[in-house]
Amino acid sequence: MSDVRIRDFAERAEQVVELPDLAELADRGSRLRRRRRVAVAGLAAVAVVAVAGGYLAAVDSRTDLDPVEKPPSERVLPYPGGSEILPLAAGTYEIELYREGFPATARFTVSEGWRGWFGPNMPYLERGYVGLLVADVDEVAERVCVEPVSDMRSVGDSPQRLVDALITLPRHPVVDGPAETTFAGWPATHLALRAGREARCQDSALEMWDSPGSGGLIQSHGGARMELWVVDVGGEAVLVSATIGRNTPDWAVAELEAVVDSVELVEGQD
Amino acid sequence: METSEVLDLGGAAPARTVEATLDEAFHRSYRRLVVQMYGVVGDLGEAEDLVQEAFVRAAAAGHRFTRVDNPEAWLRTVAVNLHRNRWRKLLNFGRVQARLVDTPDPPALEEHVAVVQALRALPEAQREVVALHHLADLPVVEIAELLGVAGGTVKSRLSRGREALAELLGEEGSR
Repeated sequence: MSDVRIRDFAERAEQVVELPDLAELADRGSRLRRRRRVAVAGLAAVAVVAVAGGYLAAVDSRTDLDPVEKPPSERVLPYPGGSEILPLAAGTYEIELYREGFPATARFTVSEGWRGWFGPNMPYLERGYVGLLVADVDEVAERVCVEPVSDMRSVGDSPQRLVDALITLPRHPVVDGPAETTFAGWPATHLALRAGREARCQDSALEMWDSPGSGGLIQSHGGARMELWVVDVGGEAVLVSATIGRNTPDWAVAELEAVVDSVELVEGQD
Repeated sequence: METSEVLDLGGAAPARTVEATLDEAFHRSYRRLVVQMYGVVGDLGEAEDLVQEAFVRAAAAGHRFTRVDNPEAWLRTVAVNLHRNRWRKLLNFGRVQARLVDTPDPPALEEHVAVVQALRALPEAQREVVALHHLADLPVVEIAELLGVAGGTVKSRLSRGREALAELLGEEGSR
């Protein structure tokens, strides 16, 4: 019975679908192709510069700073996050960071009422929303609303390059910091950004940053505040982002702060 | 026409231009693909975006697209991958709320709203396989390949998804 109803639906739905302008799609494809060629040429140029000038030796590293001792975690659950938004039982969870050659995990504790996604979040509040992400960001937007995708610049694994890129993140003026601090016992830089008015361009052209492990972030709703910590975990940058939607009630902000305070960053084994 | 954009198939087979291949695939498969992706993502506008983006990628692929054995399957794979990637890209807590909560369906599909809502109510993993099996007529092995999961996983998701779907549609009918 379900099969028949699905087929009936499919037949009717096909009649409803309107054909877009193929020429416009083909034109976008041509532009995308040209951009890819430019990007490949750019990468080749960077490689030449790096080899000739010993560029890689200049990458910032602060491995001499040790983290403070952290209390041992109790029962830690693998974080069930992914693309689905699911209820999250209260407890301590562990997220793996994915950068190749940099095994590390982030742990955090949530109370009742949080939901799992790529990061823990509370998206269904009556007003506003809060969410946490811990990510190994390797690219940050340099220009947005440049169809079809944002112009991204590589920040590699350097904490300083990540901070520099975030300071100039398009449509996200800095409202606090940057200031040197510590986060979960590691040296860190804190800054806060405020999302500007949302632009009318496709999502892929509003990408703010990209992470090999947890994907990218597109621009938040206008007015959202992003508290960011660029954490130097043994010389590798880890970004901790706590987003607070406009008009979020104080109790939800306090919940988010408690989750942020619970974050531990643990270096793993190769 | 650029010579680099022409596929030389050799022998008596005619060379095909990117434009001709794209045009044929567009008129043959666009609507079908949108409906398939509508089932996968549960949102017609999102499905249209994904399929259009797949055609953009096809155009960007240039003559490589003309060599594809099954353009519809190629476009579907791109659209599904874009969807999965897009969910990853949509790491925006506020925006995902709006997308999930406010998903209007076209008035012309009013009679089928129960089916759309039932599909939408399935967990994403089940919805994907149910839509790909029932709307795209893909066998388990092809779904497994497309999604990068084991055949057993597809079978199990399909079975659970169909059960849930039947239950949801049954509940709807009994009201």
